[in-house]
Amino acid sequence: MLAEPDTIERRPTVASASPGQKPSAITLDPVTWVEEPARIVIAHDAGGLQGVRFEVAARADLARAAVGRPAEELPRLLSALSSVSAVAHHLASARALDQVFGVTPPPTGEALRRALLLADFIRAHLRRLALLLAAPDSPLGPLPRRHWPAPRHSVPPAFIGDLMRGTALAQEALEIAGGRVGLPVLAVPGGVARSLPEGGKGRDRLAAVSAALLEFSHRAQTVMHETLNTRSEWQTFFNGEAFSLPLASLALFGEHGGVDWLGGQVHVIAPDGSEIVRFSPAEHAAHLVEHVESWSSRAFAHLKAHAWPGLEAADAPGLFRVGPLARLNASGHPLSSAELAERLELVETHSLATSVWAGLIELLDASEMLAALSQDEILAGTEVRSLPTHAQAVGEGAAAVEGPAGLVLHAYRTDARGIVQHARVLDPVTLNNAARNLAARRAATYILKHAGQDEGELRLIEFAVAAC
Amino acid sequence: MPDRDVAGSEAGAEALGPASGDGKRGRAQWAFFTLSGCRGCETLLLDVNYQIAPITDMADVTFWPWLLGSRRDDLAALPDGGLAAAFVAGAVRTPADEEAARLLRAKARRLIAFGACAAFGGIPGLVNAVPDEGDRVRSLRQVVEVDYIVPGCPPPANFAWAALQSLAAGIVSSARLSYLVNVLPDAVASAVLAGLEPPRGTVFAGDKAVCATCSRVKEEKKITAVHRPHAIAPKPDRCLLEQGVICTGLATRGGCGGRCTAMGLPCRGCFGPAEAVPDPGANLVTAIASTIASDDPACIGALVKDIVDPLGTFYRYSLPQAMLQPKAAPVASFDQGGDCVG
Repeated sequence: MLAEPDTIERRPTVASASPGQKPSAITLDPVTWVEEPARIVIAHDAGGLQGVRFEVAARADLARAAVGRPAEELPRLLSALSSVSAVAHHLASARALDQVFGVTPPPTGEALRRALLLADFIRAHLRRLALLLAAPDSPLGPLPRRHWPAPRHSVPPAFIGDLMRGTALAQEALEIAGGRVGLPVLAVPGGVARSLPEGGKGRDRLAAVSAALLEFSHRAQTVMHETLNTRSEWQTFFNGEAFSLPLASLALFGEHGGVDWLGGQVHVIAPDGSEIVRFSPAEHAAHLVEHVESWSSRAFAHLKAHAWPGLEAADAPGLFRVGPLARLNASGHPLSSAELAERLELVETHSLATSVWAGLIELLDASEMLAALSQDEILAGTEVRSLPTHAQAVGEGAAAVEGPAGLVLHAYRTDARGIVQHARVLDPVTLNNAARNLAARRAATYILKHAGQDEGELRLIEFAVAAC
Repeated sequence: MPDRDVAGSEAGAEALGPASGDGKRGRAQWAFFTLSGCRGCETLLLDVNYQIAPITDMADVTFWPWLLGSRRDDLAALPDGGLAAAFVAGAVRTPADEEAARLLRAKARRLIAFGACAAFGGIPGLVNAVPDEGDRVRSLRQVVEVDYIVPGCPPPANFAWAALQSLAAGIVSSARLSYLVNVLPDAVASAVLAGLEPPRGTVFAGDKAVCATCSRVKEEKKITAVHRPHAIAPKPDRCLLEQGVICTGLATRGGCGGRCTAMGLPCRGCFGPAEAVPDPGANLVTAIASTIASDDPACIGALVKDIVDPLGTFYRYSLPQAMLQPKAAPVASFDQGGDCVG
């Protein structure tokens, strides 16, 4: 059992604890790198690890905020409650509303939604890399501690600045496509609110920015490869037991079988590559349930076919992960080039460190797709939305979108006026909640057994959680 | 409330630049933190042209958990008043939020409510409308005294930078200063130009309503029908309210440039109430009522019925500070310092 939170508020510096007074809990508060406010509590005694929790500290109440609202407000309202997955929420909501109001977006409207999502993938993956590299004590960063593999080659410090500038470019692409820095104001039921302007503030600029981002994404791949894959100690460490977490993958698939960020079928793939189940977003209730624990402000999604397995065993049936690593493992590695495949073989696919590579691969994929889309005449179209033809709403809608951090699923039921009666929203915080707990437990077990628990080593537990 | 250094605050005359008692090298120390919120505001700070280096020229950022991996203990270890400024985003919802808010207030000589949640409660505050729930959302201003406000969801880059640079105006270049003066309200700009700290209570945003900067043409506001945003493709250049789309721009503080209305979607109030608008709902009800082009009670009744969810629309970002509350709760006024809870 873990101690009650108020008894473990302070983070003891274990190395300096006085003899005979070994602390019973280590609290990492707040957790670095994960978007939602959270903390990690590690309870241990002379017998070893007693328990590890990854505790989400803030409620989101997305479904509660939706009920009673006019459904057409939700793409803006719900994305504002979860800004880090804001674009995925915005688009999943709009796609569900297409069904609620019985409207189909014209091709240009679909293409503009896709452009927004691609820009968001680029921005999010660049930012994630920048955060991971910039923090002191980061396993990938320039200032590692002594007890865990010290890099002989770290990334050039100027590269972090380049990453920031690359992210600013992606931010500009997002603003051109979505109309606003931060929260998008683009998608509406039946399409998007406005066509893309021509010229230097619109389509031409998007093409120029996309081309620059594609070039930069290639460079980021190269720098990371040269930095990390040439560090054999990094390979050994991150492929070892502390960071290997075989779990099923939950990802969105398209009509043609591969992972598609705007696809229509949710697939759950076992660690060995076999398919566990596939279902449409409308069938969410038959396949996904949420377990609640008093110590976490967010629920734990798991497969309904299995009873809640708890968070003790790593191979628990019914648990899964979402996000870059899940998409990579679910897809059977459809890499964009043989070169990438060669790089990827250097790491084990269920190592959490592979998540860094999965993000880099998606960065390149998104950059290639956005560069191609920005040259496509379809973006020049002016027919961007369809208006509902019936005064009454159809009343039901469910859709999913892959965001950079993982799958987002929105399902609504409304009355005939389109006022929301019931809503369900699943996002990476809920879908990855169990996986993050398992990752924290595994990494903490290793750190307590093998290392000295200084701040740099504790940071590895946060890395494992963030990499899920 | 802990004692703080508030010298000269009334006149806004506190000298800028590094204060004595700051970091080891005499540089100002800053903190960035999000309470119950979504990180959108912190993301904005990172995304503002990615000028992390200029921030570190202005001050030592000593507490920023998301970027630097700082822990709460690092904050607790600072002396009271040890931070020159703390930029705090997110709403106060949990006991841990309240504790963090009070801790940041004690440690910081200037506390900046950064973003709509900290300033007005934000969208999370809509849960206050649902009875039978124990938890309530409060704005940062309802829990501790706040010195400055940067509104928006998230705040636009120009005002975020204006706030950062105003607080460091003693050490930013003249080129940056002239940029600042262009984006700030006149009174704030003159203070910054004179090398003074902006008057306490400054809201880093426009001083008129959104309509003042919205690019749409406004003519006569007379509406004969209300249209919900999904059911109409509004004319591109005409005021949305005049086309029957409920837009809260006329009761909302401006400065955003009307980005949402430029996209064809109505304002939802993320900059909070405009000057002289004590309550956006009351203001909007009056304003919209005056635009209805009919004297026939039946017609008016039918039209008003089409305004669905007035509470969630008029108070989208500011319900915790609304004058009328689902349950009686003390409401802070910014002029009174906002410290009237608890």
